Amino acid sequence: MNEAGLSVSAADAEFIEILRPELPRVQRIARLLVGDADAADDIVAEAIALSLPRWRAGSINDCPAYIRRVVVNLSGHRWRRRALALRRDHSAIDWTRAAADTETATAERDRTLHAVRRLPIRRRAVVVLRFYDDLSEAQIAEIMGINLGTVKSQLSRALEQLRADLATLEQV
Amino acid sequence: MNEPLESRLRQHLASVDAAAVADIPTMTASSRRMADRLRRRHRATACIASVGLISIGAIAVWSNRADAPSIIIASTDGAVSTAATEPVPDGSTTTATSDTPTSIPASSAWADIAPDPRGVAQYPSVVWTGTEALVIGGVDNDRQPVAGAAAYDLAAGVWRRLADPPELSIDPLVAWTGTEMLVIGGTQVDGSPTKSVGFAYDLASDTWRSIEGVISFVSTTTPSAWTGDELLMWPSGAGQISMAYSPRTDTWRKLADAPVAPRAPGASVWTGTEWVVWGGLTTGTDSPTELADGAAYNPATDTWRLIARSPLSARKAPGVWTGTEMIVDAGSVGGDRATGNNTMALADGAAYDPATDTWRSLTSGPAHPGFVPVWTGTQMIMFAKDRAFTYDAPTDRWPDDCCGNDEGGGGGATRTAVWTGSTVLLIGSFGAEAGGVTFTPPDPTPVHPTPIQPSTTAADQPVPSTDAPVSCTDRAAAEPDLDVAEEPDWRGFADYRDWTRDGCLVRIDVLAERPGPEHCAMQSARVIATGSPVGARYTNSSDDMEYVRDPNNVFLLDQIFDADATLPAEAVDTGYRTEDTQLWIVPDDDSSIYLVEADRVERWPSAEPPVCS
Repeated sequence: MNEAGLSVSAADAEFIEILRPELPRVQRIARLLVGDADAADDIVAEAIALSLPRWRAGSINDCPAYIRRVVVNLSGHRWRRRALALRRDHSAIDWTRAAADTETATAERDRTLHAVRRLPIRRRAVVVLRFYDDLSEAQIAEIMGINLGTVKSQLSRALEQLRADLATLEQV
Repeated sequence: MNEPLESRLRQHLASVDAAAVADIPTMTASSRRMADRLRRRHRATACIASVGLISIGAIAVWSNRADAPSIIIASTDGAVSTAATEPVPDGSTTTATSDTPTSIPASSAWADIAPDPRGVAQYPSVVWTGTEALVIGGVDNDRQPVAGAAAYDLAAGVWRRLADPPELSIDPLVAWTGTEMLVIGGTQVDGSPTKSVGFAYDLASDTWRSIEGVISFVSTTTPSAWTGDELLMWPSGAGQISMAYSPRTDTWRKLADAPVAPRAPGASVWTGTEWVVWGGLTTGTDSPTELADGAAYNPATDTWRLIARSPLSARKAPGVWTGTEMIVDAGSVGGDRATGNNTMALADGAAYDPATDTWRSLTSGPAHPGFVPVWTGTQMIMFAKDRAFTYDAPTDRWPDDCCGNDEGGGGGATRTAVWTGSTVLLIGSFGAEAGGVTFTPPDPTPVHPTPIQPSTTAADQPVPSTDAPVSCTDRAAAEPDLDVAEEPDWRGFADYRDWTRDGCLVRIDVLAERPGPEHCAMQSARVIATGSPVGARYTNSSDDMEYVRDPNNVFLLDQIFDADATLPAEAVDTGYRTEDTQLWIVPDDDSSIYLVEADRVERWPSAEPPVCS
């Protein structure tokens, strides 16, 4: 029996044990990618559900990396579907609103998160995995299923865009 | 400059909502419920499939579709080509009355495969991953679009459902990138095109992502090619734009204008460096006509070239790439586009060699307007409704003891074929009981190549001089940059391009030109490795010089390739040649080399290409 009172197989229990220390970080990655706490939790749950059969089949070697990859993929898909709505209503992105609501929030933090939010999803994913998850460029390439050169170029372009956006925001 | 920004990102990203994440029991319980739902769905699907198996009495009759699509031919390396097909009505007119091999009674070469778990699906779009066929689209017996996607594991002989695609589409253009199945465009139930539909399926994570920016009408009838880096598409019709999609960068680019008219299905193959399109049908007019011209597109330079005139008459015909030639065989002209009636089937064929820009005629074989060709490595197998014929390329003949009928009635009518390395997998429901058929070809005829004589040669395209005279071997003893062997071992490996001097082959450790690594999607770039100075031998990667032609900057280098350079006054000709291209250098300056062809000069900078593991 697991903590939720559900009967689990040994394989599932092992999966959960491997995932346990990773989960909070993976959830935050999802939140940074999609900007909505509920949607992020749905994505993580969906990622786990998609990964379990492959874990049971023994086709996942690196569980934390695999979960990250699925989360990034699902986030990209959801982000595209939500893009129009979000463009119409930026306040829907609750993690930026939360940042402004907290007493410790600073204008600089707000601007930074706002600029990150404006990045295209792939650049955003590279930035989040690099600067939040502290992954190397090679690890990011592995997770996102792209080559190292693409990670470098996406990161470079993301930083360039962030720098330009922050400069503009700081003038407002 | 980056440091403050990076620190700022680390600080602020880490501060986001750190407290309110769901706990592990909640998350895993939620995931288990979701997984259980998925399992229940799989069980229901299996149940439906079983019902289908015991309901064989309800066999649907295949009928022609007014908007007969082209066929997606996917090879084991992921290359995709479209092939023209036409409705194949009973009683359609053919011109071939003789020399048509007689097929023999049903043989063990054919075998049905299990039903598609999505239900009856005619004309699905299929890619081959190397182990599985990924299947999407298709129409049921009522010509309604089939929802969902599925994978057929040839080794296990089983199907599995894939995550549902975000939208329905009939006849979408598909391509396999090595990690993803690209699904672009398609048509609606009424036959009108679906615009702005693009998705990519990630096999590893069983997830879909949207592809935005589809700006033209694309479907299986669109000539297309997967280059290993980009999906090239040449849609026809008013206002349609030729374009390329790169899944690596998730970006689109417009292609240069072609020197010939756009067309609906024609022979369309990827050679490794060029996309060759020939024949097909003009569209967008009241009186579409078959075409007898073609062109080749080079994505590295974003340029087209006309190809030599074919000995074949104008037609709609499929094509296959053999590794050295594009074979165009059979095909059709005329016919009612709505019904396919009075289509004239053709029996002749020809092969086009892009290296020499020449065609040669082939022995005529069977005629059929809707052949689905598959290349196996030595043979071309032509599927037509419930029959198959093989063309033995090395001997240029059609064996008369091939290949039996598919009594189940699938065969080419299933419309989508992949060569798996040992078997042809034809996916699609002919009736109701099978998801398709497999066809195992007979052993090929022992190879006894016959001399090949070009039948058509472009006036401005001399035959390459890389077949060195015998004296080259003797010269190599005294001239150390020449290769002592006329056919050295390295030929055929890594797509090396031959360089010559005075008609003799240059050693590969003196001058070697190769594309970037395909498995890292860098094949659009080319690299020339030389000794230092040019003409000297190098022994390893530390004492050579590498010069890069990278118009798409896939190597992400700072050095810029110049496609329109000016030849410096102090430059000298090295005497090295590849076809009509000359290699020039500036003495005592190894920062660049210059490739000169006619009045065009390219400057390739010295650079160190990235390591690609």
